[in-house]
Amino acid sequence: MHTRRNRIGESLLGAGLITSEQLEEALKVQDRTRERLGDIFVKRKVVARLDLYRVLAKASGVSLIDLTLANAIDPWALGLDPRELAALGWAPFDVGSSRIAVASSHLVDGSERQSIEERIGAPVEVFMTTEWDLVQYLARAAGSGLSDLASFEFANRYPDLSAAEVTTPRQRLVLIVCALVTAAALVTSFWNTLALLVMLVSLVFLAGILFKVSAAAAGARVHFDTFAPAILDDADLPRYSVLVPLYHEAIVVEELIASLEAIDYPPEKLEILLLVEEDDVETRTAIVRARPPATMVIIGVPPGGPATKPKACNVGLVFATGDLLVIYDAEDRPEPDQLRKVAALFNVSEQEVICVQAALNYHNRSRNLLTRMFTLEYSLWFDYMLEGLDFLHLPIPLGGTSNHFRTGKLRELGGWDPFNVTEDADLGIRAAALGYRVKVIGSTTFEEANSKLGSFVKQRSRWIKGYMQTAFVHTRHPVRLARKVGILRFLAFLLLVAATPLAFLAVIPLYAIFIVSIFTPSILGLPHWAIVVGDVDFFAGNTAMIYLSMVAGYRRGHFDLSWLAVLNPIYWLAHSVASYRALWQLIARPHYWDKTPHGIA
Amino acid sequence: MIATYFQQKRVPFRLIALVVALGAVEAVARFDFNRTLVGSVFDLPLGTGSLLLETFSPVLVAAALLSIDRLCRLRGLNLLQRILVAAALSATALAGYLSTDPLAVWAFVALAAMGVAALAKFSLELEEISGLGAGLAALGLCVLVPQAVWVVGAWAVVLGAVVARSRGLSAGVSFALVLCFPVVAAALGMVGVVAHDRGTGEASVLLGQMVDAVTRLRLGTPGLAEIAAVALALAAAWLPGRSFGYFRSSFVGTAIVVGAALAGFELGAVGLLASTVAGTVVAFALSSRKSAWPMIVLLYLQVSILAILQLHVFV
Repeated sequence: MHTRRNRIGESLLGAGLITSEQLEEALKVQDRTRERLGDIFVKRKVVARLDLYRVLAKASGVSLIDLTLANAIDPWALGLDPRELAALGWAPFDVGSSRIAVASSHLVDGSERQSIEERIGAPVEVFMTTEWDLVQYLARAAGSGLSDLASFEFANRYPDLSAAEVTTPRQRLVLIVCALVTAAALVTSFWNTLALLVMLVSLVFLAGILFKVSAAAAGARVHFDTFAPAILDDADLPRYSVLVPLYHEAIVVEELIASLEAIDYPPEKLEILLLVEEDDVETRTAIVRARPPATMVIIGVPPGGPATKPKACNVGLVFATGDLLVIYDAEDRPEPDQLRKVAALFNVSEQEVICVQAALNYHNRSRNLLTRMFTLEYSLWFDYMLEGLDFLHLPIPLGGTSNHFRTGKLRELGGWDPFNVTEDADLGIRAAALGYRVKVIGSTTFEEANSKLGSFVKQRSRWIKGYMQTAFVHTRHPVRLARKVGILRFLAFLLLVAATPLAFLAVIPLYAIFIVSIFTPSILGLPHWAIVVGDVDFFAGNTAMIYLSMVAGYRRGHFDLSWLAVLNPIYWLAHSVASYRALWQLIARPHYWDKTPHGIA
Repeated sequence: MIATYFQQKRVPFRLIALVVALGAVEAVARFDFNRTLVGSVFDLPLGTGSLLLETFSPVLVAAALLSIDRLCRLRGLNLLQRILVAAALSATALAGYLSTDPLAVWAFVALAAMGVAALAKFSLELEEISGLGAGLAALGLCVLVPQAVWVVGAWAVVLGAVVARSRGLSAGVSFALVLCFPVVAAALGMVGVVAHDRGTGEASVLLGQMVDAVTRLRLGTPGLAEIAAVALALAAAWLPGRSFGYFRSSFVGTAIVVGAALAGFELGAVGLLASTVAGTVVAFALSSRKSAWPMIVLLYLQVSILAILQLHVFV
């Protein structure tokens, strides 16, 4: 090992690419991190990646190949799985009559060469390439096969857990029967049926609110810093993969790179995969122009299948080499020590903990009223609700970003469902259903809150649609699920995921009843008890949510926002509008992904 | 000694809380429902709903005691907090007594305990969620005892001011808002119910009815007891922050209690006055010790005796 170290170091020294002081420093880092010397030089910006590989190729007597200019050879056509090739660090790039040319991102010794030939079934000629080029090449070469893998493998592996088909025939039958019975009842006895519906809706609304209050109260008992395991030494830190799916995000690329560069983690243990849709030339160009650091790799997401974030993430999962993995969005600004904190938490957690969710909040909260309300909502959700769910060991629907996974376990779970438009929430529930746990951590990622109402409604309708999808997916076998996770956790799932869209759908009708019952009660033919129940329930529910939002704003230190919680009922009105759009989309375009624009803050 | 015994024997405070809370049942059962916010809204005859109150009130009191228990478990109570505990319990006992509702004694104590727990927790960890507990307690309390609105308001001002001193004005205002909101919401809700019950659909009539409802809720006039509670709480919160020193603070605090009680001198007030002054002085003296236990136990006993006396002698 030392010989290798010295050989690479001496070669770079001989080539005049490093000084002896830099070599000494790098060796110290290597002692501390136990990572490869070449990675240390490249990722600490001492040596350019290409220069390193030139020296490596020369020292080992192989040729360096530029894979960006090579024709793509589909590994599937040779019976090779790109996932394995990504892990092994080589790929075929030229098929000749007598041999197949293979590019490797590391030095290949005799036994490995033999292994490659056995896999391919033909003699090979080995070339050297950078790991950066190799990953990009594999994504390009695997093309449609990779797209299919990212899009359909989950549905093929776990058809019962996929939202590819949102409702099963049995679920549709139940829905139709319910609709017919309700319609018949309305025709027969309109006001009595309506009263019953109001009662049911009110109960669901109230149950959802009570659950939120309970979870928030539990979360209030936990302080973020109550349990903060000791940060690990660099040598003990695991390798980390950061996935950043990007689509039409050119405008925020520079900020994104700056935010990711600010992450405090040994660069040689960090890889950042920028997942760019192949047709998104603009974003790719912006990334290249921004000269990303050596820790970042651009991976093209091949077209085909649903054009969704989870699909891009699944592509990233193929190439991720880290022991831990996290998703960040384009506009994210994670707290610099977040990865270290999460690594420490994973280190002391049981193996059943497969995901750690960081808190989300907004850096543009002061932009307008909408961003302020959004901030209050997130403060409640991430600082209280999720803390409470964690405390109570209940299922946690993940937030869209800053969810950290054990990579191996994530692969076991099948990655993300690309047909679910809240793939994160679905994954959290799925993890719970399979007996795993999600924890939350007191580190925050700051995002950009949607500041335009139209865009907000679109984004929110996608989230609500995703919750509807998730509810349908996980209630396909309700008894089985309840037996597996326990009745309490099953009820929590229902109240959290299924009741949320229902509550939003109920807001507008309850508002209407509330207003009419106060000002012109005579036009309502509803029984008095139904009006009272609806009104009291609605009033109490809104009051509770206002109060929780108020306290949440306070806890976050957003003192100037707390009082705005009184506007929560109006904010909920926007949610309600979004929920009807979500319902319509669930029927008409169930897998359509409403893209949220960033960079307008 | 009592505290030491409890600590050494590890007598569960929760059990004590439960036993004492059950003692409140009798008071609740005899409670005049028409004097409550609920009663004033719904015009319920005496005794109606007492079952609900019998269930709810002990829970409230137990919650209060558990809060004190929690307070004791918190480390590092400073002088200000210890004085606040003493002042709060004395003031609320006074307020509860003078408002002549047996339940009020218990209810005010519950509120004060919640508030103190909130402040102690807040000061130690800058953890505002205790405001949630205090707020919710205040909500329940004000539904039961309308006069508590004034005490809640006082506590909101006091705690808000304390918070503002350490974290800035906006934090203080925000904290006060958090504390007050449930009460305001409850009041609005009740007003809404009254207005709704009488609603004819005309906005002007509705508005008139809302005003009427507010009047009926008796939120408009703070009584002497409430003023005394507010004054003492304010003094207790602010005086130690000045250069008064410990003994002078306690004297001033006691003087306020005495003054307030004298101003409202009426049947039974002498006993109350003596007890309160004694309790306050003892509490102040004990508050110099490291443990808050003796002070809390003594004050609690004091309040309990007052409540029982009021229940069995004066009612």
